[in-house]
Amino acid sequence: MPKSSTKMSGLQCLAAENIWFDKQRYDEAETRFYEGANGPATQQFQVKTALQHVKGRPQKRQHRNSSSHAAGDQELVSRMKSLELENNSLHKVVVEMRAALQKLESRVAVLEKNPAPAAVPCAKTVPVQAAPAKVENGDDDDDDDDDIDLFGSDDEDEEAERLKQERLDAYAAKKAKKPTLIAKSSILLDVKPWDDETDMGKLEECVRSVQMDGLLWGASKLVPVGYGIKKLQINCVVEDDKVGTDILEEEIVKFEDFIQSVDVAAFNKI
Amino acid sequence: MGKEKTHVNVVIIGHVDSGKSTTTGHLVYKCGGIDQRRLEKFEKAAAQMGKSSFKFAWVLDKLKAERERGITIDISLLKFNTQKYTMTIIDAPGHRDFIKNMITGTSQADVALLVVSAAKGEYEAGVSRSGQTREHALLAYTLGVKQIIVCVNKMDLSEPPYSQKRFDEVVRGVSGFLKKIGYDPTTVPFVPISGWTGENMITATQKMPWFQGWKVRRREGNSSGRTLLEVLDSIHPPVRTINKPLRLPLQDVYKIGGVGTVPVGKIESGVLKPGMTLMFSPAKLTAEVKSIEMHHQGLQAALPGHNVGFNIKNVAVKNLRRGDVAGNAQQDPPSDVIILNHPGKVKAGYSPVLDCHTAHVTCRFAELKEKLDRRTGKKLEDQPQILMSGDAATVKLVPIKPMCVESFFTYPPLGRFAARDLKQTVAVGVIKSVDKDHGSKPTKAQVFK
Repeated sequence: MPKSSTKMSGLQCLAAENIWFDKQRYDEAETRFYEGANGPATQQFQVKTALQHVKGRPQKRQHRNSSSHAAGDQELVSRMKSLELENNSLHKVVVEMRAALQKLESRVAVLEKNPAPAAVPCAKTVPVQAAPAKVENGDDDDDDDDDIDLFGSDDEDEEAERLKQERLDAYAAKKAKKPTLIAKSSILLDVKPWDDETDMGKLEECVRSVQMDGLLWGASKLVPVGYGIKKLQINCVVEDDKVGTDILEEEIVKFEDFIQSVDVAAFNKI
Repeated sequence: MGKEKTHVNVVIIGHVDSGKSTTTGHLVYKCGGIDQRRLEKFEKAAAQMGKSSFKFAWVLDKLKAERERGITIDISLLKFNTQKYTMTIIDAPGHRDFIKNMITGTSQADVALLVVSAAKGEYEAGVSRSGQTREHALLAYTLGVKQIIVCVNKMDLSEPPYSQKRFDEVVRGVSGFLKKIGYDPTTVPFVPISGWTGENMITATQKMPWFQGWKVRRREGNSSGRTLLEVLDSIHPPVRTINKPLRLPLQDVYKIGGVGTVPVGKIESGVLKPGMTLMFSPAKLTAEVKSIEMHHQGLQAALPGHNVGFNIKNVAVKNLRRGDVAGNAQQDPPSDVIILNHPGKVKAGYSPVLDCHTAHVTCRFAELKEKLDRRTGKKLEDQPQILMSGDAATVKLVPIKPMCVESFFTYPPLGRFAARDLKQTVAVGVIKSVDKDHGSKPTKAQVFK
């Protein structure tokens, strides 16, 4: 049962598609017809014939309608169709552009990364760009061949080849994981009160009231220190680029009525 | 449960995408870091979704998602057991504040596990100038992590898979630069693994019959084996410096009704016992220890690594502060620096804030003594005018107010520091020597970007 029905609808779809394609032609004829300032009677006739070629049920309905209505409907439908087509193609363009942009971005990232850690100032011309870089790079290595270059002793050809391969792979790898992850860290903070009488509930409230972009407070617990003193151990997840331990500490220590100091108990990558 | 096992902190370092997280995940997953109930829950869910073949990866993903929400403060997520040790993993984040934290923070790494990818192109990227492999290894060395283990990861992705040639190539390259950094390659075990498929992680693999096992020669004796787990089990436990004089940097000072003054801190060396007379530097106050508590339990002796509170007589809370160091003899402070990341140039007179153990004190770069090659430590220039990012140098630092530090060579935890300026860590270093009581310290600064 379901099979036959899907088949049916498939066929219908196909049929419909044909109709739409044909329709355009009819529409054109219709427009020309209008432009030629012909009498409404002929128009109606034209429309009717067009419709006859086209659909089953809608045809009948339109048939009954006044000629102007039919024409208007059809025009609307055709315009919608063309808009849809246009929309589709636009979507395609957007996707293409996005892909291109991503490629560019990853490329820029590679470019940025490479020169930065090249600690030796004179090595700023580090290679990344495809073709010309290869040559440059070879030269580079010769110039400032401090202990960084592992392949300094290899001959140029091999090195160039290797570098090329390396770049290709780096590129492929970059592409493979397109949605670049936001680097996050999990930080466990020890928040210490002034004495054993500090209200730890309030203290926690204060800590949690610190809000920043890229900061998420997690679970917490009280850890006994000694002599009735407890410290608050609280977990938070931060986005590496947005939140640093220093700002966090500064913000928390502002509640100086409750908090004596803050230490980082654990710091891990997520 | 496993409490009698020695505790070891392992910091995992390596280039992005070298498979650090997968490798650590595998260890934790297989060696008992994740509690059984949670694991079963995940495995069941994985099976229901028809993903049992990717169980491991799936569980890792779930755990990651869980950590991302921060709903668990169960650090045991990053713990696992070997035969001899309980290990806590520090999965080094790329966060810019992490380095400072590694220097001044409470958990010092005892061992570094350097993960290098053998996959095509990834190894090359990792050791290239822009790669993080060297930088991390250098940092580990500078911070005094003496034991380093190298695992050559992603052997399943080498070309051809499990290629001996590729492994040898990576080993040659990595031992070359480890040697230049200062490690002795004969003491560094190299293990070919796949964190993803688990080859040579827990059990020896059949896929690399050419691998004869790793061997290391150390003064303390040689060891050998085939798997990463065996390597971790063969490391030398951190030496707790019990025989040295007491050093206890204060984190906090409390005033407790009915008890009195209670300073709290972590013992870095020596032993703390009730009845001892302590000297607090640089305040130069003495006091007798009445009692010691840890986790609300009384202690008769506190050892290095213990985070303790203790009750002292005759000292008011306001006379002590975070950053003071308690000792039982009169021994005082020193310093040594690496400049990490400074946008401009550093001249004599530059005064960043130094973070050393728990103290924060502004220090002036009084004199730039010599510029060094940061890899070899060889002198490049006497009395340089300026230092830039990437330079290393010996610098004389003068704190603007008294501060208690020690030479890195005698008390490592009190001898490393991070310098902060412009809200970031601009330099890290170690203290070479200290001019006692004058509070001035010659330092070695290394700029490093």
